[in-house]
Amino acid sequence: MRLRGGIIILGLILAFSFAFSFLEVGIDLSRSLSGASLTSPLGFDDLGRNYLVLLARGTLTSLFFSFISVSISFFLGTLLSLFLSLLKRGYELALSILDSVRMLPVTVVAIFLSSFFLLGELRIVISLVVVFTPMFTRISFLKLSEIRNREYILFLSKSRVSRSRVFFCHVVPHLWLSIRGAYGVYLSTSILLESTLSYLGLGLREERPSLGSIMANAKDYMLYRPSLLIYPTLIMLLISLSLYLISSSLGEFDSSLKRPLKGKLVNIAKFSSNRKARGES
Amino acid sequence: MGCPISGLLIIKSEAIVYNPLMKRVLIRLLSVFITLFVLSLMVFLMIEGSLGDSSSLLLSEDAGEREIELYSQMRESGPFFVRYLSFLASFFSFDLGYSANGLLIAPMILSALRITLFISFSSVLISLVISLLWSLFASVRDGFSYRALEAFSIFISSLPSFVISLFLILVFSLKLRWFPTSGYVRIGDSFLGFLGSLFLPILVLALMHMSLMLRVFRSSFRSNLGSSYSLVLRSEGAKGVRLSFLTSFRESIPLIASLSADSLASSFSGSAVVESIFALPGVGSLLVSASLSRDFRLTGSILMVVAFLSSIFYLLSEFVAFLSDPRERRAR
Repeated sequence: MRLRGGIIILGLILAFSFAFSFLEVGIDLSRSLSGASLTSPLGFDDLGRNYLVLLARGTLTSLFFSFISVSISFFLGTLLSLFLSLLKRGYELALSILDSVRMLPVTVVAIFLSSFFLLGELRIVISLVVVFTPMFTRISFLKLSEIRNREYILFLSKSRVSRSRVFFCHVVPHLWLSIRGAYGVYLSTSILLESTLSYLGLGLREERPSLGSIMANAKDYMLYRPSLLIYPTLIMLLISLSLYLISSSLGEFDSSLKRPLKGKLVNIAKFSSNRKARGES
Repeated sequence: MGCPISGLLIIKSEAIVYNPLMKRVLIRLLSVFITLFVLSLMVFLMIEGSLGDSSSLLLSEDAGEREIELYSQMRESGPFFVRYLSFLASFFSFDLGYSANGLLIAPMILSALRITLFISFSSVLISLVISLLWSLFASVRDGFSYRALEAFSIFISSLPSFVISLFLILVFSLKLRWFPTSGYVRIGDSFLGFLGSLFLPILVLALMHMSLMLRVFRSSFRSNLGSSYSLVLRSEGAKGVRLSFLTSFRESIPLIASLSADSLASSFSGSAVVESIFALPGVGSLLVSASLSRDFRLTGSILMVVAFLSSIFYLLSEFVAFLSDPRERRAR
């Protein structure tokens, strides 16, 4: 239920941003801060831009850059944890170095890193990747250690199955199932972090509006037009809520175990009903 | 046999290894040093590798002797290793050099730190008190109190701190006119003005901390209610909030300590945003302005100071957790 709800909300937000982001924003100072109209149901901002289209573009930008950054961090973190798990010595030191970065306040690190890069797109991606890679490394390393100690993996390791086969065919596929909940949580965090950096002027370039920069623009008029602040907040809230619903429901069960079990139960039920039908005790 | 001094050293080292508190302190101190080492190397490499940073702005055409002297202080010469060691030595002696504006960094950070630490400690204290009380009530009832806690927690954690700040300004400053929209009043100038200027920033940070604390405390209190000692207390007649308090409070001290340390460390993140919005002269706003003006030496110094303080907070939380939990003390 929660998973479906989360997917529906996220799907609606994506559909909204894809549908309206390709329309013309149009700068026209004569319609600055004017109210809703048929062509622009959410009104216009201070530069006379269509707020609906601006919001759709901002949502798409924030989602895109957060998704890219978290996916790169996920890939790097998983790769690094796989590499560390293969090491027999020295992984504790590597993990403690990563932990030392992980323990730092994320916004402070992101602000520090973003000061070193001039190009908006690059600096936001690098800042987010540096912040999230140690988190993914730590969590996937922990899960990897837990999976490798599961009974069936230990059994396979003792049998004639090769180590690499056990690792790549049984350990790695289960890793994704264990950390996909964390992926949703970090994606939500990265959207909030990206919008914070853009709000402070340390994120994306001005010509590429994101939810944070739209709100930074809207704050000057919040007394007269609070709706300019309310719409992006609602979108941000809905994105976070949908990702929370998805990640919390994904973290609860391991579908790889659930599906075969479901199938087995159906088979057992069928077998039992067949036996009853045949009159066997 | 052998030298008595070496025997003493062995006895001492064994005492250190088998004293769990000392062992923990040593591990945590080691992690503090690793953190500072990694960060200092990162900051140093980024400062060294960056071209066209704000320190070069000092060397404009009309640069005087003072600007040239400052620039030469910022750009030390010599082999890489020597330059790195000198950078480290200057950090540990708190001689952080000059910012791009030609001001001494150490006094700048120290004066800003007072405001940031005041905001951080106040927000953590307020959030701890409210979260503990609310969680105690929510742990014994599954009804409205629990649902309100969940909804509040999800709502606050779904929004970044700048959005909450803007809405609080809109309601309390622009509509109701109870507090100023921004600015800082010194305590010596007006005590009420000082409290008024810091009320909204502290409230924003407290709300952010509460979103995590409420969920953690509630689930911890709830799990403690199912323990065997809770059953004993229940058989003696304790029930409701009193039972939850008696069962959970002492058990939760290590959790409170670690969450407080975590919140204090994350306060630096929140303060960077909140201080910029409310125009407070704290470390956070200093970091943002230094970052916007590409003053790498200042941003690097702030990052290292923040990392050092965060590590100290975590270290203290481990002490408290250790001293408050007899099971930890007995573990060898």
